[in-house]
Amino acid sequence: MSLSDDKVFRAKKEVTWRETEGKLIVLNLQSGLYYTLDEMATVFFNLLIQEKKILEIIQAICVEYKATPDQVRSDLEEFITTLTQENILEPLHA
Amino acid sequence: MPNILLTSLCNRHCPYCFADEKISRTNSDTQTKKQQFISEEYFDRVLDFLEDSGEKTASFIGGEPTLHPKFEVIFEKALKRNFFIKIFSNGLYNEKIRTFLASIPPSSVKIICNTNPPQFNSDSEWSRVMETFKALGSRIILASTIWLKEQPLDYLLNLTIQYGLRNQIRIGIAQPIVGVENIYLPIEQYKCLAESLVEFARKCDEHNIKITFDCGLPLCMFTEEQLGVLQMCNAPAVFHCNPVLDIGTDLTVWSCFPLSKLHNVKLLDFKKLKELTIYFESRLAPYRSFGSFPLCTSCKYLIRNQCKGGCLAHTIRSFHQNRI
Repeated sequence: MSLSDDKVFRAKKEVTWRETEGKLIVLNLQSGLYYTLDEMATVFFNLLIQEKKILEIIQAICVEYKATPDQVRSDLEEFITTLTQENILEPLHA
Repeated sequence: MPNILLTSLCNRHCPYCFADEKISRTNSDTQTKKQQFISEEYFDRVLDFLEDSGEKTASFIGGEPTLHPKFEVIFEKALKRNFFIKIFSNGLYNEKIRTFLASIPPSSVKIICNTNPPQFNSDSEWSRVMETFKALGSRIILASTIWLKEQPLDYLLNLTIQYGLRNQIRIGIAQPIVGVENIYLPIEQYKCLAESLVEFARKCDEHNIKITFDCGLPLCMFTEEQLGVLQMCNAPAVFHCNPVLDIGTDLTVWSCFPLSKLHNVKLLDFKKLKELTIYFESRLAPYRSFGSFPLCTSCKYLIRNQCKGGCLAHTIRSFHQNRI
């Protein structure tokens, strides 16, 4: 999935989450399936649910983690693709 | 066993009230909340439903159920249809209600009387409740809801002995309401509470008085030794959390008061209680794997279903809540 810089995603309405002991658990209330996110995935998720644009997320992570934009974009796109397929995320402006 | 909300009115202002979402205390409340009293027609329909489901007990709650202006009529209807009647009440009765309930044999009614420690009652409230105990004796089971870390309990034992109340005391812990701010005992304080519960069970055991616990306790709040003492004192703790089913005055049904903002349905859209239970269980099931504490997810007692991880309201509140 190639994402434009101004694309925005949000959690689907049947999705909820909680953070305990540094781990984020994302629960789909419709399917009953849940996902435990690692540290980087948690950072992605927390920025996405603030409805930030793709470019803003990449910039924020590059500053925080001293990573290259290309690497962050690649990881972020993979993350969004997976969570969209799992019915966790949806594009805000479909 | 479901509870029937006879009225949303209450004459108490308990700080921890977990019925708060459904209760009316002022005139402005009554304008925004659901209808105040169950109608006779709706009550008959509930009894039909309970009968069809094979229930033998009609359980009244509120608010304060005796504030229903036709309480005696409602009560007689259930009695006439051979239901055993259980009333969740605060004991603040007038003489008329007291006399009426005193005329009912203890074999037909059980009044679970939630009684806060004396210092949380005005003098007139306390004396009215004592009049109730004096008049109704063994029809009454004392109950207390714990919302303070160091809440006195001995008064329950003393009153049970003094007034010859039923030899059972019911203890619950104040739970949160999902989507509403109320006062409740934080789960982090449960372990501190455990020792005083065990000590109280020991004292009650000396007088052959049984302790029963409400839902929502996690197994890990007690040590193995404390669990053993409770067992030996005839105060076995239970660690369940299942849909109770409360039926509102307008025949709305919710799972229990702490979850009263979630998944409300209409009674008459279902045929049997079992269907309602399955409905709520399936809606709440996604949360069941987690429990109230972070460690619950890997706890063998939760996985083996020996413990439900405390009140589900704690679990749900630990999740993001923007859509309630």
